[in-house]
Amino acid sequence: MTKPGQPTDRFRPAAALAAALFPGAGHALLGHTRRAVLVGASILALFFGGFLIGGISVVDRKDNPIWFIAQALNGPIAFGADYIHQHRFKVVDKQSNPRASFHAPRTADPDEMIGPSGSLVRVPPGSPLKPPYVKSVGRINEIGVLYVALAGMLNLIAILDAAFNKPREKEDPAIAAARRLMQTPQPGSAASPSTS
Amino acid sequence: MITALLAAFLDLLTRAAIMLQPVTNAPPAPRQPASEALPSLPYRPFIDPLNLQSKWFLLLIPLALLISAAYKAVRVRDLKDYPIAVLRMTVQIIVAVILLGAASFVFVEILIPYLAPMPE
Repeated sequence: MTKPGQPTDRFRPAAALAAALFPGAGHALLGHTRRAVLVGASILALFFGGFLIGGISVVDRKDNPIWFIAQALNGPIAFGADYIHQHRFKVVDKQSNPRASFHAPRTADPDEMIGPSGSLVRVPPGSPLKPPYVKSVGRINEIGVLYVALAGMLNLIAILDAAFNKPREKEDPAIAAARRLMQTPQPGSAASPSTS
Repeated sequence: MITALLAAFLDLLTRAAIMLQPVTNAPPAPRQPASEALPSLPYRPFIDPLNLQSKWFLLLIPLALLISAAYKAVRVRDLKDYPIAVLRMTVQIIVAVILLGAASFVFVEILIPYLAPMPE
């Protein structure tokens, strides 16, 4: 019988692709459901834990390109988070240099917010309006980036494990029934200590 | 949860109000210090960072736990041994980090000044 976790030499591209698309999906495709849930839940907890600690600025393809290599191993969710960060939360400052043909998006300052089509709008003093997000700095940014990057690296381990793992074989119903029968205690089979 | 949803809804409303304002070519308003312009900012989970700068090292404990949970979910043969294996690896990581920190402290603060003392 196949034991989950035992590697084989055969490469399974479908399981590898599924694991790369979503954490735990590769093991789920192979039939290791409990293992898939554990892998997916722990990697996603690391991924979203990084966001909870450091905010959305922990995934930034433009500002942290080296870290993003590790973070991209989480799959499409990392690219989606970076896309949202770049296109929904950064501002385009056309006021500082109006003649420039290209204005790179940047993080809004505390007294700025997003206007129409991502342009920069200054917040009047005393206004309750706030910037689209607060960029994390220092240790909190480092820890948040580390959480998401480690989630990606652990997902790489999960991808490799799924790619070279055996699918779970369906057990013969007769064998399963016999095994269950052997595991249930029979009446009178357990030796009870005799009292004198 | 409800307050977070309400805050997000109000945020959307204020953004829509700004977007509907006519765009003028007036010069930008002079910048104010952030503390004056924004007296209080509500925390938005997953968007804004947590204010834990002084207790950042406590975040290494859930980090070690989640690393162990993900790694042992792949590596352990029988999932009956999973919780014990995760706890054991978590403790190993935390103890190793503490020992590495202590070794670094001894190296930088004691050994280096002993081997190469600063001139008076």
